[in-house]
Amino acid sequence: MAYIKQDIINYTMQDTAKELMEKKAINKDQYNNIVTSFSHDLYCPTLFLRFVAGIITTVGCLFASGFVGLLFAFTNFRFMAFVCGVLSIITLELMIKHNKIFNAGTDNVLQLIAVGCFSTFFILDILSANNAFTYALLMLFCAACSYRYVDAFMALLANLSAVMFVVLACFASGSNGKLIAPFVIFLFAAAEYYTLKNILAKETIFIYKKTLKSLSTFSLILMYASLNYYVVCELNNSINNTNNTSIPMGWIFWITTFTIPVIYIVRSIIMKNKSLLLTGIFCLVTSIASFRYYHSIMPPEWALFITGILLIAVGYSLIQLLEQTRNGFTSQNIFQQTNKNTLLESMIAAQATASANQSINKANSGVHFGGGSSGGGGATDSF
Amino acid sequence: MFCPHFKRIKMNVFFKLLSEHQIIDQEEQERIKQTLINQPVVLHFELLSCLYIGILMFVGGLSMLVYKNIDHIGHLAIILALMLSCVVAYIYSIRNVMPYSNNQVQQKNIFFDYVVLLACLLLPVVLTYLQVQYHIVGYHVSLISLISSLALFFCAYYFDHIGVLGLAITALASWFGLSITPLQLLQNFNYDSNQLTLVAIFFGLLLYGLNVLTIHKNIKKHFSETYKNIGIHLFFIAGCFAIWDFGNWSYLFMIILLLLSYGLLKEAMTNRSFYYFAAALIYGYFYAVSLIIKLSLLANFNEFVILVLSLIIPVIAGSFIYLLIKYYKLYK
Repeated sequence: MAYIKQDIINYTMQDTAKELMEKKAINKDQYNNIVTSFSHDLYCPTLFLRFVAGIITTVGCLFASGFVGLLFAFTNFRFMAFVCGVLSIITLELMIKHNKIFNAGTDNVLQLIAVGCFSTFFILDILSANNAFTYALLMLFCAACSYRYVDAFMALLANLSAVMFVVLACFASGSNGKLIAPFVIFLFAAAEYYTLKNILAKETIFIYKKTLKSLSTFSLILMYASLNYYVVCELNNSINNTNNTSIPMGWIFWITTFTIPVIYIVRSIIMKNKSLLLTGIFCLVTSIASFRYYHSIMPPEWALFITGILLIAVGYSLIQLLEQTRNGFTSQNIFQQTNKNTLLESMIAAQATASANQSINKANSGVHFGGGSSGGGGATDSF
Repeated sequence: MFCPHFKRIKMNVFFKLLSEHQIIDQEEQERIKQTLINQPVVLHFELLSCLYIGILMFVGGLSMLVYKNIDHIGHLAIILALMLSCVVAYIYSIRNVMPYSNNQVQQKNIFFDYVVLLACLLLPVVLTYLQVQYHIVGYHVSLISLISSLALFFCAYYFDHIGVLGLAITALASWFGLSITPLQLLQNFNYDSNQLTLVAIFFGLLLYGLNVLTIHKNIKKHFSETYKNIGIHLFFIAGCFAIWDFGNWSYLFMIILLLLSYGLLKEAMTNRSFYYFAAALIYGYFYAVSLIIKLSLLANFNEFVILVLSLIIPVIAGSFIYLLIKYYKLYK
């Protein structure tokens, strides 16, 4: 690990304590006590600062790679990529050593660049992009990064490369392999989910808790995606270079596309698990979208209109229904959290209605409109 | 029935470490675990988001229906439904609103905000439709934006709704000919729209002025953040284009903008606002990089210039990140 282990442990302790304080399980004094006893000097800023640092690092690295390019006179791309990858790892190590950056944007970007460079290095010369071995290497590299820098995103990338490895291995084993590939991935994801669940329950690995949690959510989505009709059909098309909208035994995949989200949602209600519930809803929405992709039963404006009314009705009635806690769920804001995203919401609203208003304007073809538009109606800049 | 045994508390290591450091004793730990087990799952924001997305889809679908059926007979029914829902939403809002105050007003009903939002999203659709179909303000099309913007400003203050304030500001901007919705912001500016760049700079300053005025006069102080946020980003993004558009004047712009982002940095540091601190840093970084590229373009463009650029810009990036880390640790 690149960090001092105690720092990461203290960071995780503070993080857990903060979560407990937000849930009103411990009070402010107890939280402050924990923060002072488990202090660390890691630099792990807010999301916006991470984003900014990430952008600045990306721009800096782009120009730095230009410098490396000049050294090689832009001839040997393979070697250039390798040097860039090594340089970014060295920069990362130095920054962690001197500034103790942890999930600060800069380290995330540098890791990504290293992965990108090394995979370019392998794909360009030694192996091709469709070789299972490439993904095995990529998986090892990402897993090593995730271990060394305690990074959840690298773990996800490693997981994704592992899936690609399994897929390509299935394809390599002939036409039967192609047929069973979705089920193999499903079994892979299911095995992963249950292993992770056991590890999380036993809590043997404290500092990688966040990483394992995100991996377990990812494996849930993977289980669903492996048997989703759209995914299976489009993957099938892209391998065989066809453009079919149906696949052999398609009905099985339609059944799984809709049953898996329902299973998730029912299970989440029984287990009182919010993240499982949200994952289930996300999968259900994806299922409806995939169904609409192949069987459009109504024009989009009516679909929007009716879904809107349905969502309003569901939201309204559930808020009313769960006003008193029922079955372990409530719609009350019992932790008194405040909504910090009002401005973002209004910007999304402005964005969403702007295009709608523009289209009304365009309906009157006698007048040409242009220029600015907004939630407040389209307008011209030719006044 | 709520069955607590389904909820497992996976925090053994956490509690073990707390015991080792003697921060929270065994009895208290049991109490915390019980609290966590008995706590219900809170779906407050999830359900409100469901309402919010529903309203957006409803209004979006409705305006598309109006657009597609504008020549058909069925369209009269749709437009009547549109106006009716707008009027009903307004009547509900007016009947349930708490009395006006210059301070933040806590509405008694959690649905209130969403009905106001629905009403204020429908209003511009109705006005735009009336203009297109019946020319209510003659052929002065832009007036519609001004009218809806003024109406929305009134609603924002009367119903105390920050979301509506955002809508009002975008409507006012569109009267100036600007699209400040996130996806269209960058499309405003191109190499032959110097006038629009100036308008954007002016509008950004206007919003910043409103922010200062709001705080100074103490009228709805919680709105000031919205004015400031949109104003600053609009101003500096327009600045990013101004430094490329105005020939030799752009050097002057660049220096002014660098100074202003330094000012923003200073202000953010006194207010301990990491948000504006980061914004100032990233705009400052962009201007600094632009200045260097522009200066290097003056020289003959050759490999030596690229070499210098590719050395200087990473160094600047490094120093900006160093600044970020240093001040974050200092002010945290």
